[in-house]
Amino acid sequence: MQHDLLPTPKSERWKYTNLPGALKKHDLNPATLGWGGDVALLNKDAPGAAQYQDTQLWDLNSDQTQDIKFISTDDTLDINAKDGQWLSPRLVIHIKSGEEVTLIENQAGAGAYWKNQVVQIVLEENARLSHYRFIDEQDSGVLTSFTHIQLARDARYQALSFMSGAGFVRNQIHADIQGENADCTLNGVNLLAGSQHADTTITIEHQAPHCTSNQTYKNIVTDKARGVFQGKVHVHRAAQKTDGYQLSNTLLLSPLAEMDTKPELEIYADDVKCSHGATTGQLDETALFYLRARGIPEKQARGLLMSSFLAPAFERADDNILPRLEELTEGWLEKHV
Amino acid sequence: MIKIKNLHAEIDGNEILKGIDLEIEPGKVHAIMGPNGSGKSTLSYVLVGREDYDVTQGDILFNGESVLEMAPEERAAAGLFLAFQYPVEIPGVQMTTFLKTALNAVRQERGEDELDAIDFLKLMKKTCADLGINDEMMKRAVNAGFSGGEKKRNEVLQMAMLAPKFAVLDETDSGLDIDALKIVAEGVNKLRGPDRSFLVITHYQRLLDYIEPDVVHVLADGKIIKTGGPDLAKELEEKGYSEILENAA
Amino acid sequence: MSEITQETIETVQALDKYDAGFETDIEMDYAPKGLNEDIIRLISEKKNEPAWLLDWRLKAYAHWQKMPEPRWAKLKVPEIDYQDAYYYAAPKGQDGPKSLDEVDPKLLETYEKLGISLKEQEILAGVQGTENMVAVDAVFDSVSVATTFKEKLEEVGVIFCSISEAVQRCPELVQKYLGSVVPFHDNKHACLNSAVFTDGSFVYIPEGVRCPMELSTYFRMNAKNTGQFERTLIIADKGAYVSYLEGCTAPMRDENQMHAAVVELIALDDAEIKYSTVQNWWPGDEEGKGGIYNFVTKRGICAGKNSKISWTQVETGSAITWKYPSCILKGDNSQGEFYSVAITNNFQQADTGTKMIHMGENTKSRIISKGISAGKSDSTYRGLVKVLPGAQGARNFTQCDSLLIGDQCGAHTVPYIESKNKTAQLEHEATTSKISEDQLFYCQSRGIGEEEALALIVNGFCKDVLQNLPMEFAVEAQKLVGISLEGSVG
Repeated sequence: MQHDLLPTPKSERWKYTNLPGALKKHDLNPATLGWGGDVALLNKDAPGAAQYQDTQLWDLNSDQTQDIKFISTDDTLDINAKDGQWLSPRLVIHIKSGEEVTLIENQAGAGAYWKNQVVQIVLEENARLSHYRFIDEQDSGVLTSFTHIQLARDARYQALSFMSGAGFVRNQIHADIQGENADCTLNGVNLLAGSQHADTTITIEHQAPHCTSNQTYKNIVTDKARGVFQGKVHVHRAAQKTDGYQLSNTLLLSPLAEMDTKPELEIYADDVKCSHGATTGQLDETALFYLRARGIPEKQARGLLMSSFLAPAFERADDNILPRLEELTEGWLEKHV
Repeated sequence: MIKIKNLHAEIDGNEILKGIDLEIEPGKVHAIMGPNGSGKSTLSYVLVGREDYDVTQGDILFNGESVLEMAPEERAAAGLFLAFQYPVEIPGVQMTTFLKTALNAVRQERGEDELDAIDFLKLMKKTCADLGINDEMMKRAVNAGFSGGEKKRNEVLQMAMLAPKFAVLDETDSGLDIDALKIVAEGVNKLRGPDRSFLVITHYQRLLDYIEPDVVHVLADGKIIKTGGPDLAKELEEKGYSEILENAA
Repeated sequence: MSEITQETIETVQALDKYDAGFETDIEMDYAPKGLNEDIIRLISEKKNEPAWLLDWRLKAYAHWQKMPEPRWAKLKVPEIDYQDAYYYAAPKGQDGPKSLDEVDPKLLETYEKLGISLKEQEILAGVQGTENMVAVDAVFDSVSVATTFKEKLEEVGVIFCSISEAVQRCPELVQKYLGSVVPFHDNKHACLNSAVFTDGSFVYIPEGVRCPMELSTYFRMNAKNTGQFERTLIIADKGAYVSYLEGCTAPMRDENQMHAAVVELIALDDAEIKYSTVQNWWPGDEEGKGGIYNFVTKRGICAGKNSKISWTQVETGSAITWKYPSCILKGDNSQGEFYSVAITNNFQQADTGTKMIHMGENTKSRIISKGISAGKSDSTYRGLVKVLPGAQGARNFTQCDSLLIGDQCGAHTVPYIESKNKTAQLEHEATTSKISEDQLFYCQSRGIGEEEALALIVNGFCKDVLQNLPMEFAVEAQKLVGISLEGSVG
């Protein structure tokens, strides 16, 4: 593997995440999940506006991939890496006009590995995709995921990423909103412990008028873990009446935990409503005291407050998914708080 | 004073006013009543020159001159005034600054001397006192955090300060309890005089108990369908709009 | 009136908008054009500087030659020909500080025209008490031409003079602090400044002294093809307080001129420095021709416990603004504040913001930024809030609001929030919106013209920042807000 082909912290979009540093520690070899898939059917080029972003990992996946899945109906994918593997999974998702699809993606692994994944999503007019991504990596696992979403008129993309084990993760999402009245909602929960590192980097390109985008990310970081959130909303000149919202809330639970946040707005249209908010802090001690004064034991009170802290990210989650989210949250809190 | 001739107006291509004729003599108070969506607010906006509305036919004459080509601030200087149904909040701009800027702009346009800070404050305090308004309100930002009653009183205060010849009250009673309504109406009554005309736009007869009109019009689907004396308002209240509308049709 | 006549009238009016655009006709002393070691030696020699300072300049110059231009800002900066400018330009006979009666009357007139009085006697006769008075250091191109109220300030131990004079009078203070907050290698522009700075102001407030009057420096760029590179150093000793104002203007010219200043503030235990700027350099004309490149490095250190540094800036001028007044919060319980209004119109570009570096315990910072973009301009807020592991209980609140006027401009917000301490509470909020049609119409329907209404609303939008300016500056700033936005509606 040539480490000099990888993006480094010298590039602005990778300022807080040192991928070559993380990979250096492991001896990995190209491997396959055995999916097969016809490479000839693949559009290898990083699409549209992604071209002026960092595309090294995309290109690397295009060169390496032997695991391609074409998806157009409901599906659940388990993407598990084994020790020593360097995988390059490629998901090509195309939802036809008017169709409604739910995709569940389970990311896990064993030992040390690198999954360099590319997800290409095309939503035709009025197509809908609910996309759940559960990430539970090993401490020495590396996941880099590059998701590109292209939305046509009236299309809806709704994603929830839930991370209960990170290892070293870069979750990069790039949405091109190309048709009017489309909506892109990206929610995420990142629960980080140990010396995990999780980087969520989002770019939303509003290219058409009357569209909405929402990002709600909740992070709880403990031990020596480090969280990164970089979210950018780019409103092009033509995208009048855009409503763009972005929120990142972080709780730091330990003295060595770290969070770096960079919520960014780049706006060229005047008749828009765009805002972002970011907070980093501790649990509200007054609220904690109040609950305890009402007889709730401290541990339970903390759990309660943290669950309510996370709740807004689950707001749009499907009823079938909620129990799993709650269970995972409880399990994590039980173990780390 | 004001003469509206065959006024047609539309917004985003939808015709809202479909030929309104109305003349108000100096010193008179006319009321326009009508159901929701009949074009009441459109008429008030068109009178003071809101740009979103296009006048497609007809004319508005103020003291014999057409105002259609005049900017809103020119109409204000000429003596047209609108008390907004929803007064606008302007954060960070103190009421005093706002009023002083407005008054001096209007005075300059009218060929009067601008008021210096001291004279202005005197006038403002006196006007507040006359209308029973606590002048503490003037230290706050324009309409920001004002209660519904405060906002409407503030509209009347601005009217008193700018001394228009013709004032339109757009649903000034909406959202007010009866006590607040009385205070606002009293303020308006104090400003009545032989040289000043009013057009009171309302959905309910209630306001007209306190501001007694000389003439009452009923507006429906962008046209005046009936005109009468103060009794017409009472009749409307008793019978409701539907009956009047049916009879007119 | 025919359209053409109307246009002519508007053009003439447009020329009048920038009141400070005149040029003073005065005989100047120039160093030869271009930049090299000899020029730096010449500047140093003209100022009769000690050897350590010349060495420092030369070191900076050597480093500068190797440094890349900073490219990370959202700015389109044309290639700068550093050899095509004069690095030293002083009115003839003004190469050293003079007493007020020796100053060329033409210079006094220039400042008078800009609304800055350098005539102490008249000011003294006009007001009672010192609290309403402002002491002024007037910098004309490369040199300080006069400093008022020097004697009066010395009575309480305050040193307020040009930095050239300070090098002679209190070299130990200058040597100790110069470059201590902004090292010469900090960035390309600061590095250039360290090599070629010609003048600027120096302030020292001794222990326990509350400076009895506002101090201010008025920078004027007059000569053609010159760059202005001033250096300001303000030291507030334990328990001292000072409020300092900075104003700047330049004539209207078709060429771009460079202004690369460095300001360093040092606040020791319990000291407070309030630094206000109204930046009104020539912004270029409606076609984007000419204007000042304003590349400024401003940084303060709250070195002592309970100290406070507050930056307030109103940025309306310059073709390009690159400026991030920052605070290093080293002392426990120290506080940093940044209040900013940045207005861009026509083809102006501004990339401005702040850095708050929390090092000490219970350090607090507050950032309020209001950006207004009109015409074809671009305005970016770029800010860093960084909490280091030792900053127990650090707090930050950031509010960035942007307003767009018209659909040909851009407004951007790029905050970096880095927390390495769990007890730190950081809050950041940002909004972008446009001027509300409802507000404009409401004002207009009360008789206020469109441009005046716009100025009124924008001033309201900026109020949280403007109210932090000293009174006399606040009035000036409010007017400027209106003037800078002229021609942006309708």
